[in-house]
Amino acid sequence: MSDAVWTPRFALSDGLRAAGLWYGGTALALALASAALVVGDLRAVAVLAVPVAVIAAGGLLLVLPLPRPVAVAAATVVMTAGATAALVVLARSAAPPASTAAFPLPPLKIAMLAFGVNAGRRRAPLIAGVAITAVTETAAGLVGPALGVPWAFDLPATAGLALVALASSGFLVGGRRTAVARRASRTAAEQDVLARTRAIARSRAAAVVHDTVLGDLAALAAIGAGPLPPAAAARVRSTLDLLASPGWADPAAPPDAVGGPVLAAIARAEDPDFSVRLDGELAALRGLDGAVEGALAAAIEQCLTNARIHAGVEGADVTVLADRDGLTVMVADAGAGFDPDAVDPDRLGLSTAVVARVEAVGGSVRVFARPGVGTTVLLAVPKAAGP
Amino acid sequence: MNRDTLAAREPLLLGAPAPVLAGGGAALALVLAAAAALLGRRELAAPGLEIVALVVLAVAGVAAVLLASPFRAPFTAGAHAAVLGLVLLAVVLDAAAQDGRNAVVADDWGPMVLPVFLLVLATLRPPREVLLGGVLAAAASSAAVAALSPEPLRGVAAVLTGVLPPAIAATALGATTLRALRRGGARAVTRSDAASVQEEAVARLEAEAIPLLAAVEDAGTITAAQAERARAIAAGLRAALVADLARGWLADAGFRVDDPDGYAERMTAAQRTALRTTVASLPLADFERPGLASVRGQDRDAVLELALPVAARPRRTRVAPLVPLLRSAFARADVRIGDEQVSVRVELTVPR
Repeated sequence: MSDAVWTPRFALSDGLRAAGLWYGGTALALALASAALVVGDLRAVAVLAVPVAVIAAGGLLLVLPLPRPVAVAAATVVMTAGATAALVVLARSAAPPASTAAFPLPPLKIAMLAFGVNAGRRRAPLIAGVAITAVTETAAGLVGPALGVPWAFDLPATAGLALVALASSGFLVGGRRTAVARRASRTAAEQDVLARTRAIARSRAAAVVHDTVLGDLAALAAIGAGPLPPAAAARVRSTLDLLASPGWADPAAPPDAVGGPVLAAIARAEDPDFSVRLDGELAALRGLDGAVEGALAAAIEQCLTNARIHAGVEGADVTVLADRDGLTVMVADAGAGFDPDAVDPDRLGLSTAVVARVEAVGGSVRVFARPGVGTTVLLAVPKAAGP
Repeated sequence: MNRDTLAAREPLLLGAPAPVLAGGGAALALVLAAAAALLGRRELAAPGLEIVALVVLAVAGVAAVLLASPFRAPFTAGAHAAVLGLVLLAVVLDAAAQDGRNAVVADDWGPMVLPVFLLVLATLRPPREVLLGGVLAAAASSAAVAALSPEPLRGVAAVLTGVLPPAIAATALGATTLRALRRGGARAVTRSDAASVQEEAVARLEAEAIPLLAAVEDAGTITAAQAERARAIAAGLRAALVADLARGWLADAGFRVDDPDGYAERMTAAQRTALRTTVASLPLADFERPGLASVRGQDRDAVLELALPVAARPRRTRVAPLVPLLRSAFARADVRIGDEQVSVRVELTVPR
C-alpha cells in the first residue's frame, strides 16, 4: 500500500477499520459488564471473559495482513468458537439465558459482525457478516438445545447484519454515483495547478518579451534609417540568443507575474549564481497601491541583495501570502544567518532600506535569523499606504 | 460550511453515501421496528401508542431523507437534533406502549434503530457532536426503560450495550477518517507547462519580430521601412501581451467571461476546482466552449453565474453530489437543472 497513490479512500478504510474495532470492542466490554450485572453469577462472568477474549482475538485476525479469504475463514472459526463457548458458560450459569437470542448473547454476535467490517472492501464485510452469522447460528442451534437453551431467531443480531449491509451498500452505491465527478475532481485539481503555473509562465514570458523584444523594436523604430549603433546591435543579438535558449519562460526561474515593480525587483536581484524561487498568491500583488508596491519592491530587492551577498547561498525563496488587510511577503534563505542582537554594520541596509521603507507605508518588518540556520524576513504591507 | 464533517471534507466520496444511507436507513429502521413490534406484541400494553411510535419513527426517517438531501446541504446541527429527537421520541413512545409489560428489553426496537440513525449521521456531523448525540440517545432511552420496564437494571444494560457501541463507532469513523484525510490530503502536483508557454511565445515572435530583428542584426543597418515595421510590430505585440495577461482562468477553460471587476481571478484553488469539477461532470453540449460565466459584485462580495448548455438534461443523481461540493467551497451555491441548460450560481467573498 505504501507504493499506491494516496486517495481519500485510504482515509475511509482507516475510518471503517477504527469503527469496526471500536464497535466490536465496546460491545464485548459492555456485554461482559452487563452480564455481571444481570446474571449475578460472578464466577460464571469471570469464566465468560475467556470466550469474550477469544472473540476479540478472532476479530483482530481481520486486521492482520493475511490473505483476505484466509483471514475471514480463520476469524469466523475463532469467533464462532468464542461465541459457542460463551453460550456454554452462560447455559451453565446461575441464570441461564431463555434462548440463544437472549441477552447478553446478541451483543456478542453484533461485536463479531462489527469486527467483520474489516474483512475487506466493497461487499466483503457483508459476505463475512453472512458467513459469521450462518456459522455462529448453526453452532448455537446444535449446542444450545443440548444444554437446555433453545435456538431462537435473533432479531437484534439480524439488525446488526442489516446495519453492515446498509453501510456496505451506502458507501458502495454512493461511491458509484460520484465516480464521474470524483474523476473530474482529480483532473480539475491538476488542471488548476497547471493553469496556475501556465499563468505564471505566461507572465514571465510576457515580461521577458516586454524587456527584450519590445524594447529592441522600440529602439529600432527610434533609430530610423541608418547603421545600427553597436549597443543596439549587441542588445538585439542578446535578445535573439535569449529567445533561442531553453527555459526562459520557466517560472522556476525568476517569474514575472502580475505585480510589475515587485517582480522586476526580484529579477534585478538575480544573477547567474543566485536564483529566486517565487511562490504563493501572486495575484494578490495586483491590487497594491503604487506607493506600497514601490516600497515593497525596494525592500524585497534589498533583502535578496543581502541574501546574495551575505548568506552564501545560491538562491532564496520569496513567498507571497495574502490576508484580509494586505499581504505578507516572506523572503527566506537557508544561508549563514546572523545574530539579530549583534547586527553587523554591513546589515544597516536592513534597517534603512527595508524597515524604514516598509514602515513608511504603514507596514511592518519582522526578522528571524540564527547563525548557521538562515534568515527569514517577513514584510507585511497594507493594500494601500497607511498614515 | 463546517469542514469538520466527512460530507464537507470530501463531498464526492464521503458525502455521497449520506442520501443512500438515509433512505436505506429509514426503511430499515421502520422494517426492524415493525418486526420487533410484531414479534413482541404480547408485551404491548397500549397498541395504539405503539402505532403512534411507529408513525413518529417514520416521520424521523422522512426527515432524515429530506434533510440529508445533497440539494439541502449542509446538514445542520438543528437537522441532527431534529432527526435524533424524533427517533428518541419514537423510542420513548415504544417504551410507554409496553409500560409494565416489557419483560425483555433486549428485543425492543429502540436499541436496534438508534444505531441505524447514528450511522446515517456519522458522515454528516462532526464526530464530537455525533458522540454527544449518541450518549444523549443512550441516556434518554435508558431513562425511559428504567422508568417503564419491570426489570430496569437488565433493561438499562441492554439499551446501553445496544446504543453506546455504535455511538462510539460512528465517532471513531468520523474522527479517524478526518485525521487520515488531514494527514494525506496534501497532494502535490509539480508539473510545469512553461515549455509550451515558451513555445507559444516564440511561435508568435517568429511570425514577424524575430525575422525583423535577425535581418537588422545581420545587415548591421536598418531601413526606414524596417523602422516603421518595428513600430507596427511592437504595437501589435504589446496589445497581444496585454490581452494575454488579462485573460483569466475561466477564459482559459473556454468560457465567455463577463467579469469586469476580475472577481474570478481572486477565487481560491478550492473554489476554482469545485467549479471545474462541476463543469466536467455535466453532459455539456460543447466541452471546448462550456458556456457563459458572468460575475457581478460589490466590494468583496460577488455572485458568479455559469450558464452551461447541456446535450441532454442531466439526471438529478448526477448533479446532486455537485451541490455539496460547491457549498463546501462557496458561501452559497445553487444548481438549477433545465432541459437545455444547467445554471450554477455561487456567492463568494474575495480577499481584500
